[in-house]
Amino acid sequence: MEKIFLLCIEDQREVLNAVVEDLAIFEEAFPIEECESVAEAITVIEDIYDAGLHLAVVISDHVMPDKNGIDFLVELHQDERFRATKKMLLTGLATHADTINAINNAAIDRYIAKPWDKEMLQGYVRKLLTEYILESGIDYQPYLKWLDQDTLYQKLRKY
Amino acid sequence: MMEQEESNHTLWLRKRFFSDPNRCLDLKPGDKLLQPGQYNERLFMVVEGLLVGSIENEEGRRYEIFRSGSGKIVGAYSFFSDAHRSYSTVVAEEPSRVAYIERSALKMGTPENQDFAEQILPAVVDEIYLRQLQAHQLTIEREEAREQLARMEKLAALGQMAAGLAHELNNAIGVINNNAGWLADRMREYLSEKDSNGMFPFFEIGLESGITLSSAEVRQRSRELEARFQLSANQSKNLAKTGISNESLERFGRNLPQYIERISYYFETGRVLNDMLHASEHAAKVVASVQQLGAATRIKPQPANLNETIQGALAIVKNLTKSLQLDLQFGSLPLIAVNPSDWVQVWINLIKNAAEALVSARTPKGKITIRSKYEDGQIVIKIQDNGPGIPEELKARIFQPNVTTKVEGLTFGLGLGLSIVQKIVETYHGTIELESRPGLTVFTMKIPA
Repeated sequence: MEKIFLLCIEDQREVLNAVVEDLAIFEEAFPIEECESVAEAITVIEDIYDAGLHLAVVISDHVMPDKNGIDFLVELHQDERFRATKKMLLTGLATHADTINAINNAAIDRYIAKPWDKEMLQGYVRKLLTEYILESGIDYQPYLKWLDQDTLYQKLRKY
Repeated sequence: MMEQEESNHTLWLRKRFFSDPNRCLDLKPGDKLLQPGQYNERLFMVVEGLLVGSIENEEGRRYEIFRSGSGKIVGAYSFFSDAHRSYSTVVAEEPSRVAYIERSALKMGTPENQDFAEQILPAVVDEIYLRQLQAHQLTIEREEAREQLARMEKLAALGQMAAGLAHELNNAIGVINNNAGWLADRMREYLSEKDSNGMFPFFEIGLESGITLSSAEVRQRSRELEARFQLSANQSKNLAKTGISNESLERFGRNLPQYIERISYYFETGRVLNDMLHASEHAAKVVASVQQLGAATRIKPQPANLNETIQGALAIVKNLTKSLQLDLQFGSLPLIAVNPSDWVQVWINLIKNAAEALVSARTPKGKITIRSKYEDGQIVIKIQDNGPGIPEELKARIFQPNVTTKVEGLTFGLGLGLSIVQKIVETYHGTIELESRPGLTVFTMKIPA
């Protein structure tokens, strides 16, 4: 099995804890990196890249002390190395202009509003993980337990 | 009313027609020159003093329609109209002297009459213009008053909504907070009974302090634990979060790996409860501040510390200032009798403006500094930001309603702008000043204490 990471950025510790807890079902196969700032996330992401490992999904908070989550996800998307990484915004405050910006830059694969529903969050992450694994040409067999069957079926039919 | 120099035609008219000492009247303040319906064949010119014209509506309310000072013509309508009836009441406001001519003194068709007609026309037009102007000003003032009222109503509605919302949320938060506390007690009993391996203290650590290490520190500590105790990444991460020391871990010896799951289970159970209590306390604090803002439009002034109202405002706009550095330098302030919600609103507006300016300009290292001090019988509060500054052309108008420097961005919806801020500050006989250039914008409030 390859080492495939999930990464969460959220500056409020309790909220970060809650997100990570809801994603604990993936942790056995997909280690979760927890970050309290964008700056911290960037160093972790660089480390993952340098070690030649996969970064499958980044879930970012919206308003944070050092950087806006949307700006961060847009920049991450513009970086060739992380083009394939799935990006999700967790927001308590989606403004119209922000939404347009994010969509135009095609940087965000999913929006999820706070307070979020646990099953919905897990469902989204499951889908994004499945897409990442198939698009990156990783052998999906060992991960079947954590993947989304519908997405898998549809994608495989196309190939 | 604007002061005008006497024009040529006024000078001419005064000299030719309104200078006969036998055709002059002296009026004391309150004396009536004309009243509605009064028959009048005289045309007056104010020589000195001030006359005020007004009309009365059916309910007896009086509305001023003109003020005429030296050189102004009065009584033109009744003098020139067919009925020769005055439509307004004209009363002296100051000790005044008016000169007049009788209609009968003007001989039709004479050259003198011709001259009079030519010269009086601009004077009368001038008079009509001034009355018109006064009517316009009145309309504008009324419109402004109406808008002001609408704003106040909006504020009051917002206040009521905030109060209602706060009440509902308090109930919900109360339930969450109390039940989390209750659950914590039950879990404490249950886990202390169930515990047989000295795991219970980990629950208590979780409950009392939660995760005290930052995520970066957890990562660092994970690596240490991974190397030292030969654990998996997951195991070491879970262990790192508890903040447990190496010494405490040593006692588990070689059996440590098999205990980690239990340690983490006890710790996380406590930690979750700690987070819930924390989050509900934060929510309660925000609601209390909103409530203070909303409910208090009618409460009596009470002794308050303005520093606390600043803290209240900061709790409300926390989300907006999150991405900024806040530097609070509070001096000790005397209590002053205020309606705290007024001041919470002042600070919300100013902090929100600063935050939005910094965020929308993407100012690197955006920072808001708030200083308070007491000196020379005044409370001085400065709110400063290092944003792009307020454009020169906006500075003069910044306190007017509906002026905005915002291009885009986040809106919070509680503030009603700097015009409200200025009104509130003035209510407390304070002053507000603005100093702004790129990189430094300071609002300085001085409030007598």
